[in-house]
Amino acid sequence: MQTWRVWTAIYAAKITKRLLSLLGRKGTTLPGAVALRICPDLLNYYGKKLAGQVVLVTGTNGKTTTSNLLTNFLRKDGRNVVSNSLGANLIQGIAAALIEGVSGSGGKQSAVLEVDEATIAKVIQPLKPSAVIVTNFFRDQMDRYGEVDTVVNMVGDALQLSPAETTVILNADDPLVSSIAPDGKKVLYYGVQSSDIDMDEQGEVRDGKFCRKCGSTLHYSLYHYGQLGFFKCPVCDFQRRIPDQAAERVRLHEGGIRFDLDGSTGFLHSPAFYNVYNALAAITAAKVLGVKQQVVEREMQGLSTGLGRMERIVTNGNQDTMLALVKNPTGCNQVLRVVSQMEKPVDMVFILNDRYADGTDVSWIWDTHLERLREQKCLRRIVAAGTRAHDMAVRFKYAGLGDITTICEGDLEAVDRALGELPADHTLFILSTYTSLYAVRDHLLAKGRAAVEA
Amino acid sequence: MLQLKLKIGYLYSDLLEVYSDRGNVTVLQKRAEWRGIEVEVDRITIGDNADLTDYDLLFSGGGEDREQLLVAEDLLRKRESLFKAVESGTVILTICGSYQLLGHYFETIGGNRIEGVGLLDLYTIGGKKRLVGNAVGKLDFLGSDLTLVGYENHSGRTYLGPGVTPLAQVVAGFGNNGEDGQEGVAQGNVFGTYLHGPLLSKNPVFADHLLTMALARRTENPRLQPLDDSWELRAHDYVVKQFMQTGRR
Repeated sequence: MQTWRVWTAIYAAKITKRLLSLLGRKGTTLPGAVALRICPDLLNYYGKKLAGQVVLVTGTNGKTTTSNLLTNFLRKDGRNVVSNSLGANLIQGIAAALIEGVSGSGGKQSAVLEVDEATIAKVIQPLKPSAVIVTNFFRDQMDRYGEVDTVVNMVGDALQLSPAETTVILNADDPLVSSIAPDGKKVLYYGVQSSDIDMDEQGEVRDGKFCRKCGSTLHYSLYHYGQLGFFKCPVCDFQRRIPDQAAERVRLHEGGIRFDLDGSTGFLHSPAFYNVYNALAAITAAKVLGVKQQVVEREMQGLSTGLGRMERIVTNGNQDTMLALVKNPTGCNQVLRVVSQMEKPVDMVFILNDRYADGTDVSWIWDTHLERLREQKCLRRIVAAGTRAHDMAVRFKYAGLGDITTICEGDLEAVDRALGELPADHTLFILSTYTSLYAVRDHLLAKGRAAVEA
Repeated sequence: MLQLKLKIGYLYSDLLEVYSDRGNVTVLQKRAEWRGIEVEVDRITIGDNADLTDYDLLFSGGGEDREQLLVAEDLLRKRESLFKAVESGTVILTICGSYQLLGHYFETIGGNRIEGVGLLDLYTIGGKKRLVGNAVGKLDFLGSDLTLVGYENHSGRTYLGPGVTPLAQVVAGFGNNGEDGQEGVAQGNVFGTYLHGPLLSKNPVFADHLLTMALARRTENPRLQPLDDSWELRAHDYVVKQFMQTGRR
C-alpha cells in the first residue's frame, strides 16, 4: 500500500463528492468507486486506521436496522462512529462511507457497516473487523443470485477468511445462519428463547428446511417465523445452539414489543417481531465492543428502528401512518402479521416497484400470505401502487381482496389519495419496496413527524 | 345438472417451490371456482403412491439443485403412472426444474447426468451464466397473435428434439436456451416452460386454455364463462410494453 496512492484516492473521492453535491446528488457510491480505481487496496488503510473497531453486518433482512441500532449504542457510549446508514452496501459504498467519515488527523473512531452478502468476502480481510453479524437468510432478489444456497455459501466462505481477532455473531434460531459457523473462530449466538406472541405456520415460506450438514429434514420443537425456531436434525448432530444473548418473554406492549434479556427489560417502538432479532444482534455486538453495561441497559428501554422499518409517522396533525419496507416473502409476511394484529381499523397502500434495487422479479408477492388479511375485518381498503401496481392488484384479487382494492400507478399520489380519504380513527399502513421507501418517508415527514425520533 | 368438479394434483409443492410457482395453482383454482366449478387440490410428494390418472391437471414448479435431484429419483418411480395420466388426457404444466425432468436427461456443468422421465423429446445442459429477466413470447399454438409474458431465471439450457414443438417464440428474453428463439414446450396436453412464478396470473387466456383442456376429461365440449380480466391484461401489457423494446433478441 503506497501512501501517495491512498492520499490521491481520498482526495479524488472528496472532489468527486463535492462535484456531486453541486449537482444536488448524495454521492453514496461514486466517490468510493473513483477512490478504489486509484487505490484498489484502500480498505487495508482503513482496517489499520480503525484498529479493530469495525463491525460488519450482513444477511438478508435487518442489515440497516441492526447497523442503526448498534451505531446508536456506540454513540451513546461516547464513541465517534462512521456508518453507511443510507444502505449503500457494496464495496464502493463502503469505501465512500469510510472516506467521508474517517478523519485524517487521528482520534479513535469506530465503523458500523452493513455489507451486501456478495461483498463481505472482499472486505472482511482488509477491514479486520472486531465483529461480523449475520442476521438471517431468506429468499430475496432471486434475480441476482438464483438460489438461497448460493448466498449462504458466499457468506460462509467469507467467514472462513475472517481474521483471528474477529468475533462472529450469528442468529442461533436460523439454521441457515448457524450452519456457516466458521471452524476455530470465536462465535457468539443470539436468539429468542421464549415468546408470548402467537405464531401460526400457515402460509409461511421456509427456506432452510433441510440440514445443511446431512440433508435430512429438520425437526422443530418451537417455531418463530420463516425457518427460525428451535430446530434439530434427527440424523446428525446439527441443532440450534443455546444463545449467548437470549431474549425471553417477547410480548406486544403499547404499540411496540417488550422482551427480557439478562435481567433487564427491552422495549422496541415497533410491533414487528423481527426487530427483536435486530435488537439482539446489535446488543451482542455492543457488548463485544465493550460498550458500558449501563449504557446498553438504558438504551435498550427505548429502541427505535426508524427509517421506514415499521416506522410510525404522524401526518397532518393526527393521522397515524406506519411505513414498512417489504422486499421478500418472509419480511412481508411479518409485516402482514402486524397488520392483522391491529385493533384499530386499517387502510393500506402497497407500492410494488421492479427497478434494479427492488429486484426486477416481482413473483415473490405470490409467496406472501396475503390471504391472511381477508380474515381481518380491520382492513377497509387497499391501494395497489408502483411500477407494478397491476401485478399487485391482481395478487390482491386472487387473495380474495379484489373488492376493496383500487389501482394508482404513482407512489406519492397513492399515498396522498389514501391519506385524503383516511377516516379519523384509522391507521394507514404503507408497504413499499426499496426504491420508493425514502421518497415516501420524506413526503410523510414533510406533512408531519416521526412519532419516535430515529 | 351435476356440479362440475376439477381435481388438481400439485406435485412436489414442498420441494419445488422456490420461485413462487405456487401462484399458478391459486390462479387455476380461483378461475375455476369463479365459474362455479368445484376444485380439489391434492399435494403429492416424495414417497406418495398417488394414482396420477385421478387428476385432471398436474402442476409442478422449479427448485434448487438439491431438491431437484430428490424429485428426479421419485419421478422415475412415478413414471408409469405419469405416462398413463398423459394418455388419459390429464393436462400437465411444469416449470423450470420439473420441465427439465420431463425430458431425456439433464447434464450438469460438472458432467453429472440426471435422468429425466423421457416423456418428451428434449434434453437439458447446465450453463455457466444464468439466464435472468422478463420475457415475452408469441404463443402461436392458440392460433392467434397472443403473447405470453413472464420472468425467467435458469442456468439450464433446454433443447427440443424433432418430436416436440415449442410453447412460444421468444420476442424478448432468452427462452429455452438463449440460442434458437424457442420458449418452453407444448406437446398435446403436456406443457413446460421456463417462465416461472405466477405465470398464469398474467396470462389468463393460457390459464383458461389449460382449464378447458382439463375439463374435457370431465365433460364433453367444456365452455368457460368469460371473466373480467382487465387487471390481468393490464399487468400483461405492462410487461409487453416495457420489455419488447429492451428485449435481448
